Amino acid sequence: MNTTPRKGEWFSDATFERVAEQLASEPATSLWSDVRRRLAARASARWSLRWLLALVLASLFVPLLPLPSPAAMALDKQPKPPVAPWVEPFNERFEPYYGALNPLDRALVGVRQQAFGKRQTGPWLGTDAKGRDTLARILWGSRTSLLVALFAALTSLTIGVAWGAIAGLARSRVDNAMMRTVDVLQSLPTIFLVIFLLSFLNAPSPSGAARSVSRETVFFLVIGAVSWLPMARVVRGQVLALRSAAFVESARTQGASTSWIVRAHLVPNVLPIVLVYLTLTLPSVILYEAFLSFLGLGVEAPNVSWGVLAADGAEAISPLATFWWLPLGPALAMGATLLALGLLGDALRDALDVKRSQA
Amino acid sequence: MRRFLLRRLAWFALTVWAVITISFVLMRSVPGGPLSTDRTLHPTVEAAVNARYHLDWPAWRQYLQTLGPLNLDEHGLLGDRSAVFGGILALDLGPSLQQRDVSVNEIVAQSLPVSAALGVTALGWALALGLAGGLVSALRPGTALDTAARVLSTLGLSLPNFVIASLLVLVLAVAFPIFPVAGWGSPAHLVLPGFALGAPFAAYVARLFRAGLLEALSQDCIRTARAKGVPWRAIVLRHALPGALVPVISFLGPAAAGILTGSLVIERIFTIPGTGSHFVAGALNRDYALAMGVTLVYTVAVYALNVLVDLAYALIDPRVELEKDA
Amino acid sequence: MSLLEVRNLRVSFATPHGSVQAVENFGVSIDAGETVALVGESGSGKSVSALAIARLLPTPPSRIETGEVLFEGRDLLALGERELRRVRGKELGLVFQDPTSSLHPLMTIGEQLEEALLVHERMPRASARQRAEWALAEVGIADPRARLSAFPHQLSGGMRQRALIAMALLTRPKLLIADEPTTALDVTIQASLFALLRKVQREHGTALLLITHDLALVSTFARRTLVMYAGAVVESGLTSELVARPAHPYTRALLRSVPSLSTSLDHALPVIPGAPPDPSHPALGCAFAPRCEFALSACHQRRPALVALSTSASGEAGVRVHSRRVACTESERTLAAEVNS
Repeated sequence: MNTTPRKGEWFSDATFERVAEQLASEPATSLWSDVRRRLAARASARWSLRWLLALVLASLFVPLLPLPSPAAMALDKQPKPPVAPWVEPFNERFEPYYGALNPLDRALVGVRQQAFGKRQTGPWLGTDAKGRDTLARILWGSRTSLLVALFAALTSLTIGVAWGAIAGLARSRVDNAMMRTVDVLQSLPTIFLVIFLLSFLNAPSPSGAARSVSRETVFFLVIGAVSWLPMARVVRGQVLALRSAAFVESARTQGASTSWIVRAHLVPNVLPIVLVYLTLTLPSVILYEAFLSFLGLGVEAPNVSWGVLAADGAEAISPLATFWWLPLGPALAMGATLLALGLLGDALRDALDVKRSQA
Repeated sequence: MRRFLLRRLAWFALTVWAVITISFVLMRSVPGGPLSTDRTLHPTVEAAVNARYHLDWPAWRQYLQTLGPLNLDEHGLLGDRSAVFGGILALDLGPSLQQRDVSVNEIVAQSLPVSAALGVTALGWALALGLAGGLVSALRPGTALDTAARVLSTLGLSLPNFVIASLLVLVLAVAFPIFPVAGWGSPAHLVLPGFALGAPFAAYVARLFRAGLLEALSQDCIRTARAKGVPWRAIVLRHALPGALVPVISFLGPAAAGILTGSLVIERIFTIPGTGSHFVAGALNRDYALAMGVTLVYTVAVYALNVLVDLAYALIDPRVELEKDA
Repeated sequence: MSLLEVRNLRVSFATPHGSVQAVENFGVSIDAGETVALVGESGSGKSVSALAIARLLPTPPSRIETGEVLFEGRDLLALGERELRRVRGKELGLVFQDPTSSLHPLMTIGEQLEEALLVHERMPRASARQRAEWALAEVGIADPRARLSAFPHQLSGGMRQRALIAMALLTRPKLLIADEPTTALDVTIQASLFALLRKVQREHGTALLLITHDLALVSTFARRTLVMYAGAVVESGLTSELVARPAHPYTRALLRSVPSLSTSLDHALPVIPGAPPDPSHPALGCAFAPRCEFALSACHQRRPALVALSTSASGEAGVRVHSRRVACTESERTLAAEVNS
């Protein structure tokens, strides 16, 4: 059988060549370059990223900054209102009183003392009832809050994603068992149980002996323990949907191995939703920490976190005297950071949504 | 429908049992008993107290006593010899360990209406503000009004409720004494706490509703309605709204749970004598029975609300089948 | 006077990359009771043109740059929203492509049909329900009364589309625009749905603008056909003539690519190589030139206008004669030569 097309019934080779050339000359784009471009185009995303980066840098290098120590107390009985930076830019009252510092921080503080000596910033954001500088406490407190957020993020990433992915890929019995566990754990009033646990651990033991597990470790463990549940559920849902997706089936019919499918198809399609949920988890964890700190179950003095500061600030308002700078400073810091996280999460979600007809 | 309710009941029983058991284990595994304080008690006093609260019984017996439904004690706790039933399954939450001669049931009965009023107010604020904000945002997308509404709602999510509370008190109770700073008793006392408690959820509702409306309005069936010549107001209210409300209704379950937990802090700030402040006091004072009792009450409330939400969901959307597992 | 007269319709979309021309130059005229087919592949601009006629395009991204849409003499593009609403649904009915998404999932069929009536006429609910029931029976739905209280997801795809057709025809519109009514459905239902459309049209005298990508289908159905490519009409005329002697190379290629029983098995199926042009980068000359086997150098430089080739041979008495139009440099020459010879 002659299979070559008869002349005139077929478009010429020249036409085909011309068309092929045209198609080859168009630029190819990938998902992530699109995402980057869309993010960069949004002003709210740019500013959020800048703020968050600045915050991370500040919290890393805070021991180096010429700030007062966050734990150095003065003998004033009352909180002092803020003094504008141009009125009292610096003073020479630095006291190197910190809590337990890790070696790196100690070294940085040493460098700071050498560089600035006794100079420290003035009370630009006021002081609290024990004479501690608010600005310093806010910046040092950001470390705790960011650390808590990071820990929760890591936990939800590792445990949550693994749990959800395994459940999504496994047989329905295993999947059911795993998700039932998640259901039960989620329906427990964890906040109450957490408060139980922490308050009982906080109360002094009758013998006065040191507890085997430090309170802060428990705190972090507890935060991690509740953060991974929503992520597991979301990942499992996505993996389940992808498993029966047409493109996975077609990859399988072409002979792709399971590890290939996981690498090439599942991971890139689960990653976006994981990222978006991560940006949603972080704010709620920071709020959770603030909540627990308000009840007195958070980090212990002289360590400080934004939650502790917010709690102090809330208690500082009474009809008798108003130390408005005490709640306002932490409120602004927390609000700005969580706002940035929220806006970034929104922008990320919009950028990752391939169905949107934007850029 | 019946199968749905039965299955929910089974899960409920399991959850309650899990809460009771976990709480019990937690409380017993903490070093020192509920009555260990810095002061050491005289041995006879200590023995009497232990006997009264059954702290000298073996753990399994204490557990069964707490669980119920039978009262394993010959005397009955408050001297009532005829009590056959006791424990949680008999709806008896036991005596308070710190407040003498008061049962947890009494404490809860007194404080629950207060918390309920606060919770309902907060939910009301959340729905009113959230639905209004979401509607405005969705109908005028991209305008300054929309942006303002969205920034406000993101702000509401970015601050802990006690920070919002303190800022509110700062402005509306101290700087301009419009509302009382704290306390309970009149409707004016409900305003600030209710708003602070409901604000984060209003923000969430606004976002959900805005997204839901925008999504609903972009559907093909809206185009069909326009092609039929249906006026815009009818399209928004009759065609788009029901579908857009679905995510909001789904959110009511978690919102109620969140309002209940948030009340712990709000009641403390505004010194409202609700169940939440009793819980915190109980937890901090190691009053096991009170803390566990309140936890259980909250678990029941949240569970019941979630069931109601599912039922409402099924009512609105005819495609939903109740028996399907979420 | 024709029922619908569209002239010089240009529609563009605003994208982050700039403005994109979706419809270059669209024009059509439909007489009362006439069936006109609009044929083109995906992206040719046929659906956009139809939606633009009814002003159902979302106006922030889309923009109707120029054009006149004269419906019974009134320019729809100039009407206010309230008057437009009175035309839509009452005089002008639309049936869309996907019956599943076009019906509201949370309202019963009966409610949606009754709404179509109650929006335009005041009548007691019971009468509306009665008329809805009759309409469902008319489109061939069995047990129409029970169907009234059913939800869309309880009906099959074919039944949903019939219900949509019933809904569009309830108000006895003068013109029905059907945008690919069978594309989302099984091919087996296609024939029955078209038979239904034809029956309804004959009984009510409704004019029909049928949009489809299936050129072979329209040959028995539509009196006149317009062929669109890359946002512009490239050929139009009486269907019988168009199919018998296609003038535009695109039309020719389309007809050729439809396999028939007489196609020889010796050769591969003919296809049109390449793809439609990217509307965000419009070509200088004729849009089809890159894929055209007859392309001349002039074709790449100059965009041909839609010109009348000849008046159609059969001028039936009382029927308006539409001329055959083609937008092709090559065809102008070739066919002109034919005519002259």
